[in-house]
Amino acid sequence: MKYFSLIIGISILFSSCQEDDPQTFVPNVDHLEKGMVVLCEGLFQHNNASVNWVQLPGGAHDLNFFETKTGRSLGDTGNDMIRYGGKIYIVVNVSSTVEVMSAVDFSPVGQIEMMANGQPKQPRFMAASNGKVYITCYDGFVDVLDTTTLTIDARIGVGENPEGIAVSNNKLYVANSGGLNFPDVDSTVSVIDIATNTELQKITVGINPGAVMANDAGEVFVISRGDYGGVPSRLRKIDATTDQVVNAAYSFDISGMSEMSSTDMIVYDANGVHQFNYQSDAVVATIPLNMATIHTLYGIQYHETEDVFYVLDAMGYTNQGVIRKYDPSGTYLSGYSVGLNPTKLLFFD
Amino acid sequence: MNFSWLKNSLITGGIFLPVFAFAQVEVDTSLMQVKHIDAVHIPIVINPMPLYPVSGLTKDDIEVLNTDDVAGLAAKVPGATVRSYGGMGGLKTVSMRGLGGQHTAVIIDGFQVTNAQAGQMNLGQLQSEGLESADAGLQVHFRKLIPVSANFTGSYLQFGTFMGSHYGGKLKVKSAVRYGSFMRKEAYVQGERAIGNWSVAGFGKYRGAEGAYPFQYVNGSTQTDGIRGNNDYQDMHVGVKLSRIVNGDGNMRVIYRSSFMDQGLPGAVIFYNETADERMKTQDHRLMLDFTKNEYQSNYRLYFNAGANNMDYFDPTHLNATGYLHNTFLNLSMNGGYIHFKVYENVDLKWGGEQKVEALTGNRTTLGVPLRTSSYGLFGAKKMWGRLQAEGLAGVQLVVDNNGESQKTHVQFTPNAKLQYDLSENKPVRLEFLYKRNFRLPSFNELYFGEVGNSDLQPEIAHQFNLGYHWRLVQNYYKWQVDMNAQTFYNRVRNKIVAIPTKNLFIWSMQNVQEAQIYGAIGETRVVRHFGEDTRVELLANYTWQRVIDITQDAITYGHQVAYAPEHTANADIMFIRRGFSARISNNFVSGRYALNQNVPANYLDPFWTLDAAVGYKYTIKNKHKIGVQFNVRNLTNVSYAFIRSYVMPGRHYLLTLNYEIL
Repeated sequence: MKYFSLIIGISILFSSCQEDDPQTFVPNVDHLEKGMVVLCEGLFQHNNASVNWVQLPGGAHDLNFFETKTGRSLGDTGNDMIRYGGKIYIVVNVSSTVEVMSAVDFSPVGQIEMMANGQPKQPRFMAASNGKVYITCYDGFVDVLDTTTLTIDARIGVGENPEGIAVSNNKLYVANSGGLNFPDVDSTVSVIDIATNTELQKITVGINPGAVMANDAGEVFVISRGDYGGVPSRLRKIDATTDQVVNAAYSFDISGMSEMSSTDMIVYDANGVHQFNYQSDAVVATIPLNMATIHTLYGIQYHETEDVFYVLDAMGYTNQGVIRKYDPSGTYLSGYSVGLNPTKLLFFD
Repeated sequence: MNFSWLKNSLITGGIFLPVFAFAQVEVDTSLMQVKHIDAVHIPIVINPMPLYPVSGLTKDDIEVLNTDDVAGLAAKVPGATVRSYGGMGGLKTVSMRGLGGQHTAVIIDGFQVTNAQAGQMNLGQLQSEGLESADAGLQVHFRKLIPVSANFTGSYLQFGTFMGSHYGGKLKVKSAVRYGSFMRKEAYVQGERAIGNWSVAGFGKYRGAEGAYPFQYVNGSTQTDGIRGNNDYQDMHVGVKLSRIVNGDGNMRVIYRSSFMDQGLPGAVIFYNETADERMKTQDHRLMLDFTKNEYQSNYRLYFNAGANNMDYFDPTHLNATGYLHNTFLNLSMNGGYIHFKVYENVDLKWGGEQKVEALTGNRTTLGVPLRTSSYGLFGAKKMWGRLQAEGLAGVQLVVDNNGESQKTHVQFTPNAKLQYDLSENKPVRLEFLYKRNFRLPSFNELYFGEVGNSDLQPEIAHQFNLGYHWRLVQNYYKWQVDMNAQTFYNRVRNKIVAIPTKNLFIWSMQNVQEAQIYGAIGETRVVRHFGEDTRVELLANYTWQRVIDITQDAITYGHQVAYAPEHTANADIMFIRRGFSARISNNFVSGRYALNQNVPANYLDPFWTLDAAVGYKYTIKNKHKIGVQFNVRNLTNVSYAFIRSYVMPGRHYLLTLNYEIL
């Protein structure tokens, strides 16, 4: 009998060891305000890209915001998200789709299948201008999406495996990474005339170009990511008037950049976050974030209304991400749990 | 009144108790071992029983199960976790008791089958046709003369074909044709005969299928139907064997096998993107020779095994400069050795040595030309004191990895110890304890494959503890026979080799970063009821509970169940055989698990339970010919399930088999 009792007792004990499911508060969001929309890439072949809604500053969230609004999943590998006009555009790379949502209540507007000749175009990044959204596609094109009809008007041939894209001086600047030829990667940026949808030239900027960004003055910044070994990742600048690389000698390491103000941008890598001033053409300050509080720096965005920095922490890339908020003095304010590999934020004040 | 059943139950309870205690204090387990007991054939004498009282699958089991490949048989093993990417020929691996698939030796007809490039065999490419036995466990019986290197792994899967033993009779032929769902068709023929002291055997098989199977999956809150395309498959297998009895107690064998496979790769199911056009062709050639001498109280074996595996991968729409991706790899391996078992006064000894050379070439310039040479030495002893039996094995392996100017050397030891106590002199009741240290080397892919490879990887080390209790609950009681087996296990793995993103999300690299502990328990039974000479009912059931826990210091997932390790798995098969008629119902249950190490709802995969059924009839004509028909229904309840996220398995499908044999 004592054995029997022991077995029963320990079985009960064992049952008590089960973990409770985490509790999540899911607000019924019918208007995008006082919060942020978070695009999370997910992982390749897991179909777990997601869009999250996080209310600010409280942090109540819906980690399946896209599903809540559409009844279906976002798909595989969400790469980019922009707000343009009254709509939000989301690029889903492996699923090869562009999802279009309302920027008012996030209701679905349409899904655009990005296929060419029966093959996925593999869209990557976007930029918008003059009623068009320009989408880089890994098959070597930039697609022109009409934002009224939600149809692809044109395909513009560029280099291999284009990544980042920006608009300046009525031209598109597209980074040709050639990433699928690694280690023989590309090193050029294509310049496209928006009026004619034709490539004007290719500018050599350094191997493996990735992110592209333009400031209000029309200067175009490109990150040439090197070979992840001996050749470091470096910032390049293109004069959008002459389409020449005007400074190829920035010496700081960089893995990403994002807008901060009309005079400055944020540049960062795993070792630190800095303020780059356009006029002085140099890093002018270090934003004193305690990097030890960040597990895997995957992005950073400045929110002007709150005057805070939001750090996108990928938490080792295989765990749920965290959006961490810091004030300009580097003080950690709060953290918000989100999906896997957060990559883009849109703020709604 | 005989209360032996009560005693046994209590002892079993005692075995399980420490496991639950571990659960409470968050200790972990290790891999378990599996075997099924063939209750019909297990003799009363304890000595010849399997080392671990688990079960093996008999020829009857294998014929009725009629699986596509040996992975289908391995799934019946308690403690085995199948990772199947779906489809015939699709990648299928089996991990035992929470250890990776690379910790398991695959042995066919006494020869180990290896692949140094991947580190583990794709069980989906090993056919189940011609098999006559299948068993699995942590360590083979002391007397078994398996290759020395196969003693160094954490567990084994062992398959015996009709070509494994010397056949001394007249011509026997067996043939089959099959038709099945997804336009599957195949033909198989095998034959063997003796000529004096010689015996010759051979087989040939062709199989083809369009493979486009329908499936269902859940997208958000929507149930969706799809067709898994680019899943066509063709393979051909041929083999011959020549054996000779030498001086009455020696047996020489020469075996040659070849396999050719051509298949589409359907890839993962990607929402909104159903395109797939990659292809893979594989050729595998193996030449095996051995000589075994079975003298009085002394057995030895000389063996040699050479293999060449050619893999050709083609992606016609890769978005690179050439517009396609074409990779070819040639994997070469050769090993030879000697192993000897001898009975001395009061002690049995076993010793042996082996040399192995493995190499890889390919058209990927970054891969280099890896070359691995391994030297093995093994010594073991076994001694009995009445009903107590102690056994120890000590192995050492010297490994030298070369690739260009890079050279790494490893020396690893594999001490094993086992204690076994028979609780009864005349009944099969046994208590066993095993400790085993094993390791698995990083594969060539893990060492050298592009950015992922890391040439500084160290071997992954595992310590295994197993406590088992086996007993025959009922024997010949109104023609009932009931065998029971209970085991509990604890494993600890360090230097676990895992791929993690390093420089960024797109650049993953193999690292020795993870530690894991595994603990669990197994219960299994085989119940047989005979009704006369030629009628019987069998129940074969097993259940495994295992916790495979990440204990990597400072890991975010510390304490979480490791990805794709189900906490509960179970099998239950009922088979009825009467003269030529057979029927079988097979159940397989896999509990919920996680697609990534973080145990959060977003990574959760639903549990599934599948049900297969088979009926067959064989008719013998004048004791010379046998004709038969068998009908298998797989996934009878048409459940939607996946072992791996985004790799859906087929719904209900059918297979009709027609057999003809010359006896």
